[in-house]
Amino acid sequence: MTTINWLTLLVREIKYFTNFENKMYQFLLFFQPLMFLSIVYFLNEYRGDINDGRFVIASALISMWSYVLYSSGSALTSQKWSDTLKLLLVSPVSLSAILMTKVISNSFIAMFSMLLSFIYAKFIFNFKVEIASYTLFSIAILVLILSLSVMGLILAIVFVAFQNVYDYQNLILTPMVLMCGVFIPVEQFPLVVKVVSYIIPMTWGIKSVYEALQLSSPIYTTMTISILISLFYLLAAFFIIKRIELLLRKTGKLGAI
Amino acid sequence: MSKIIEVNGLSRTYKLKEGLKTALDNVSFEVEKGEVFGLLGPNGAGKTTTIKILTTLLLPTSGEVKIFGYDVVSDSNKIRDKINFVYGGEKGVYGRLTAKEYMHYFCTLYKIKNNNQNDLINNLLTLVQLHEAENQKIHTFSKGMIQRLHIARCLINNPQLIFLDEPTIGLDPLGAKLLRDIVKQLSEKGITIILTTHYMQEADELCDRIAFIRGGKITLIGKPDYIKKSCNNLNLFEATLSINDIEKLQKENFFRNLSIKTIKEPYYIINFEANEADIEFIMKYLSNFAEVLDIKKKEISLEDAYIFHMREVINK
Amino acid sequence: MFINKYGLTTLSYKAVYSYQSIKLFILFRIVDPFMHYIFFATLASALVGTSYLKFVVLGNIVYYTCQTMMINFINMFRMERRYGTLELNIASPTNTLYVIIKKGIVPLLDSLFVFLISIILGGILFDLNLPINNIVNIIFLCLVTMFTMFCFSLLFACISLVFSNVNLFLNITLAFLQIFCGVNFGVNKLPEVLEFISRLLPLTHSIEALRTIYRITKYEVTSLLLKELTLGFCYLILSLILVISMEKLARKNGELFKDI
Repeated sequence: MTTINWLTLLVREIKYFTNFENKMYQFLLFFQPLMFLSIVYFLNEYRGDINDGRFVIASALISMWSYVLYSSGSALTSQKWSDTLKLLLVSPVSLSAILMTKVISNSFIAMFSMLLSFIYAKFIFNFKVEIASYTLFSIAILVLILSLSVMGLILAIVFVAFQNVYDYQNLILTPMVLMCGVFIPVEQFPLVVKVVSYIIPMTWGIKSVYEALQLSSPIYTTMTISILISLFYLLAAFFIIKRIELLLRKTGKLGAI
Repeated sequence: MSKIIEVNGLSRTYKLKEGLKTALDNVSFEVEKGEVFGLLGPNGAGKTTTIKILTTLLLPTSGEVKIFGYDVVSDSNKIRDKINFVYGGEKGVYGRLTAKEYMHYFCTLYKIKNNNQNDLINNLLTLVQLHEAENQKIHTFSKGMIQRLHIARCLINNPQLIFLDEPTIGLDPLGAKLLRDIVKQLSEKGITIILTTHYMQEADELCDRIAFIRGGKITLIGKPDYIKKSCNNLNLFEATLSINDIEKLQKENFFRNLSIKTIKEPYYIINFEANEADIEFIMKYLSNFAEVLDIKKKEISLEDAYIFHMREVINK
Repeated sequence: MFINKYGLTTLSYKAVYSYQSIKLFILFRIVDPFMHYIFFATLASALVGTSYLKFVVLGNIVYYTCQTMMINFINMFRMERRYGTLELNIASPTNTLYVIIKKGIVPLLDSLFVFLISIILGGILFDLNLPINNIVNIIFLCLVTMFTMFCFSLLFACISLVFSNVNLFLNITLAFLQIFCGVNFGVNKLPEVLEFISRLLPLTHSIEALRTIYRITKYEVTSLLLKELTLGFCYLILSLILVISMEKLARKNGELFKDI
């Protein structure tokens, strides 16, 4: 498939399938950042010297991750519910290309809550968010989007391969936020947790954004690692999806579908 | 015989964004004790509104409605004790419960004493032929079984009047037959039944009296035979023809609502309506186009009468 | 009432409650609250420091208990609507509010369990030792808090019947409670007007009382709990009025509560 074709598909995906009508997504994207920012604002009263920028981004990250979990996670299973999976399977475009457009579009939409968090932070709470280099920060955001997309892809596969896991998706929401260093830097974790955290692609995306905010020195290394890890998962996902496609054609069913 | 339902000048309007919508317009009718009364009409004609008002779930805008002599506006509680309702489709059940548990649940809601529940449930499930499935979860039930369970549920409070809103919708022929038999059984016990359905044969088989409702008004009411006779000016014919140019016949305005069935060329069976009642005349006219092998005037079914009657609405 | 296997409460649990297996129950009643407390404890420590940890965890114990009750209460009605059984329940001769209360007993017991588990979790994870000499106050607090939460959930459940999709409303209400009931920070930090509102909400007084029982803040426990109790009765009366007027309105407008 040509790149142009794929880009068209991505644009269509964003245009047609972004469902702002979904009340769950409305809450995650619009209201949840507001809630976390309020908590940060009032907790700040106890200390007064909180690093505003970091927590504005943390609020946004929670919403972004929740959105990716619920939207990308069900990218394949929901096709089954609406009985459109067959149509996707018989189309000439490969399943992985279709899934990629879905998870990337979801990550871009998730960015919306980042934007909103900044707007809320500035106009409602009067937080000071200082971004040293806008160029570097934008690049870091793109790196984050890549890692979120890959996370979405993994989730979509896991939820489809193991039917039962889907029922427990709420249970991985908060542990992931903690493990990926949204609040407390991963370096401070015990060794075992640290190892697990470092193999999650999102950890590196989040690290890149935080480092870009403060212009910490290892920023370029972090971004490189993030991209490499994401690409590794992407490749793995690509092969697994190929296999899923094959199994689906062979046996007609697999796990949740 | 005593009157169970008395409806006098009933009207109901809904407030919509676009303005007032009249769902029922000055409707009057009566239903006698023990009757099976059919309410027939296209979707949106006002059947559901009528049933909602009769079951006290909705207030009339104007007019008087009395059930068992009680007013639906002021005495709704007294009426609710003596009625119950079933609406078609698969909704209204808890799939995770067994039939027995479902019945117990509604027995409690209908304030049946715990000691009496078992016997009552046994009797009712036997009546609707579900006693063998009583410990089966409802989500394993067929549509027909769910409908019969609804009937059992609606009999819990020993109602003297029940409302069945399209009870056989989506059922297979056997399931529908079983359900009709149960309805007949209930009617024999003296329970008054108000039935809505889109299946005319069913209405013909079950109903003692029928009302056609259209655009919020009752346009025709009476026994099925009376309704069929009211269409006496409707002349339906069925003819077997040998014909070479069928298209010419199709263009002819004389035959209204023409339907053609090919047996084997050049033999056809055609059905049509004509203004003329005289079969000799029709035969002569037809012979201009074809060789008439057989022709007969059809007996009017309830469905024919319904279509004849509602056609204006359909055309609109 | 609970032994009767054909009672309204037991059958409602079987018919429409979300958690039917032991596995789900353990995961969502022990692991999930555990995660919730860790999450907010981490948030607070990262923001203010670990000294503040107990304060936040106690607030969140009360909040999470309430969240459990509200979400599961509302979910029961969502299932009823999906099954199309709500109308049948309401049309029965049994009083509507009575039916709703009977159904509410399930989430009430569920959240009571969550509260007790949370007290134990707090003890193990955050060194929140239960002040045994204050056990009378603890029991009193538990009863009052459950009652008020129940009445508030009842009011919310009644309101939810009017909405076609109650999810967003529920999520916003929960977020609202989290900010305005002093869950993560004392309500005295709120602007005066907002603090006044917070005094009309459930949880606020219970949270302050619980913190006082654990000797983290110093308030008058009994008077806090009496205020909470009064609020509970107000919510109960409001729900009663609401149900009656909604039933009247439904008959008039022709719409017996919204379908999904």
